[in-house]
Formats: sequence, C-alpha cells, structure tokens
Amino acid sequence: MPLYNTLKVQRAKLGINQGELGKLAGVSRQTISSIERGEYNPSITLVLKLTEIFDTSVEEIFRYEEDENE
Amino acid sequence: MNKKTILKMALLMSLGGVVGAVVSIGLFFMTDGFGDVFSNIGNFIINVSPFLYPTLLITMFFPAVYLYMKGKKKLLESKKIDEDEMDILEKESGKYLDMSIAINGVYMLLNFLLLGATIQKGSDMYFIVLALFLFNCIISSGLEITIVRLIQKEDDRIKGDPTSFKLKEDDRIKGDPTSFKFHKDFVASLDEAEQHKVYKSGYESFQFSRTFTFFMILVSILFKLVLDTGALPVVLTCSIGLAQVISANVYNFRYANK
Repeated sequence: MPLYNTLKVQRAKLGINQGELGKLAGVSRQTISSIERGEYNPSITLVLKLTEIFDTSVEEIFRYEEDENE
Repeated sequence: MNKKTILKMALLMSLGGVVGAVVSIGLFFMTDGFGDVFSNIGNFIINVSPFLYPTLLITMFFPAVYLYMKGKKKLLESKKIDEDEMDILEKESGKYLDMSIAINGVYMLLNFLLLGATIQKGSDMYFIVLALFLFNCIISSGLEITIVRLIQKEDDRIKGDPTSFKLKEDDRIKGDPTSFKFHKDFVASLDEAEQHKVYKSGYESFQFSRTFTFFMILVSILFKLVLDTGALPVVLTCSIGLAQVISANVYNFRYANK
C-alpha cells in the first residue's frame, strides 16, 4: 500500500534508534523497522502513539499517495 | 472471474479427473496383490522399528538442532551490529529457527506415525518401541522449549545469557512453553505487527489444511472401496474435517458478535 513515512528522519531528530523507539511505542524493533521500510502499515493507535513521541502531527510522519498502477 | 482463471480451473479439474480415473482403474485391477503388499510392508516396518527411531533421530532431529544453533548464532551476532545489517541477520536467523521448528514438528509427528505403525500388544519389542518413542518425544519437546526461550530471551528488551534464562514479569514476550496456556499468552504478548503475521499465517494454514483434509477423505473412501480398509479411516478423516468446519464457524460467530 502506498503509505510513505518519515520515521527514520523523526528518529534521527530525536536521536534514538529503532529499539529505543520500539520501547517508547510498546512494539518490537522489528516492527519499527518494518514500518520504516513500508512493509507494515501501523494501526491508528500506534500512529497516534508515534505522533505523541515525536510531538508532531500524523501528516508530518505519514503520507498517503495514490498508486498510479492501481 | 476472467478467462485465464476459468481455463486454469478447467485444466486442473480435467487433470484431477484423469489422475483419479487412472488410479481407480489401476487399483481396481491390482486389488488382489495389494493386501499382501501392505501386510508385508507392515511386518517389515515392525521388524526394523528399533532401527527406524535412531534413523529418524539422525535424519531429522540432528538437522533441527544444527539449524537451531545456526539461527542462535546469527541472532546473537545481530545484536552487535548496526540497524540496517541487523535486519538482514535477524531475517536469516528467523529463517533458520523457523526451519528448525518445522523439522522438529515433522520429527514429532513421524514419531507418532512410527509408534502407531509399529506398536503391537504382546510383541517382544513393545517396551523398546515405547521407550524409543518417549525418548524422541522428550528431546523434541526440549528443543521446541529451547527455541521459544531463545526467542523470548533475545527480544529487544531483554539482555543476557539465554542459557540462564528465566521469564520475568516485565519481559515483553510472555508465555511459559511448558504450560498449556502458552500459545494464548505468547500471542497476547506480541505487538500488532507480529500478531498480524501470526493470524495471517494461521488463516492460510487453515485454508490449506481444510483442502488437504477433503483430499484425505476422498483417499480414505477410495481405499475403503478398493482395499477394504474399513470405515474407520473415513470416520477419522471426516472427524478432522468436521472439527475444522465447526471450530471455524464457532470462532467466526464469536468474533462477529463481539
């Protein structure tokens, strides 16, 4: 699904690694890695948790774009 | 449904029909000799059963242990490197551990198959076969517990030596692998992405096993007709199918009304 994210950039701004973000969000490092790579689309609950951690809006982290091939 | 799908289905059905017809005709003409062949194979398996258990141990359990050790090594290595490479090593490690669990599962099932095929009341080898079966079951369960504990221990939040592992209250992945409640506790403690994977693979394996059960029902009916194997195999395979259909509907109903 065409969901793009800036999770890696947000993480760098905060100076934390995937494992630490996972701990803060209550998920595993692998899940954070899957979201960053666009392999897994997180639930609304997790998205809101992430916005709280980064103190930003959903749009700043996630962007939905229609796939032209679909 | 597009033309390609219809053509594919028609081709598969025709192929199934041809295979079924050939097998039926073949079995119909070979019925007389089959009784002896099956009984001879049965006797042979009983006679060599004390050797079959160690063979199973060498060909299945040892490779499963080897894969576990390889997976463990990769998992421990992955903790020492940066995040991008960590993903690659963790995937490799997961592949080895999954293969180890799968082979170990097949090993356990083959043990049961061997026990069912070889144990006979009053046989000289009754206790030997039973002891070998129990031994294989114990080591197989031991390996499964070890793999689960390694996964729990090597979760991001837990550090230390996996060999001295004891599940603590604050560990993320819960569940005691020796408990009957293990699967429930384990899945409940996974995060949403991990649960998604578990449910997806669970659904797909259910669909596969349902198709396979129907195939086995047909095989057991065919064997009853041609080889006179009796009604029991048909009843047993149908019971498995029934359990699958009923349980699927019960859970559907439960979740639809939640």
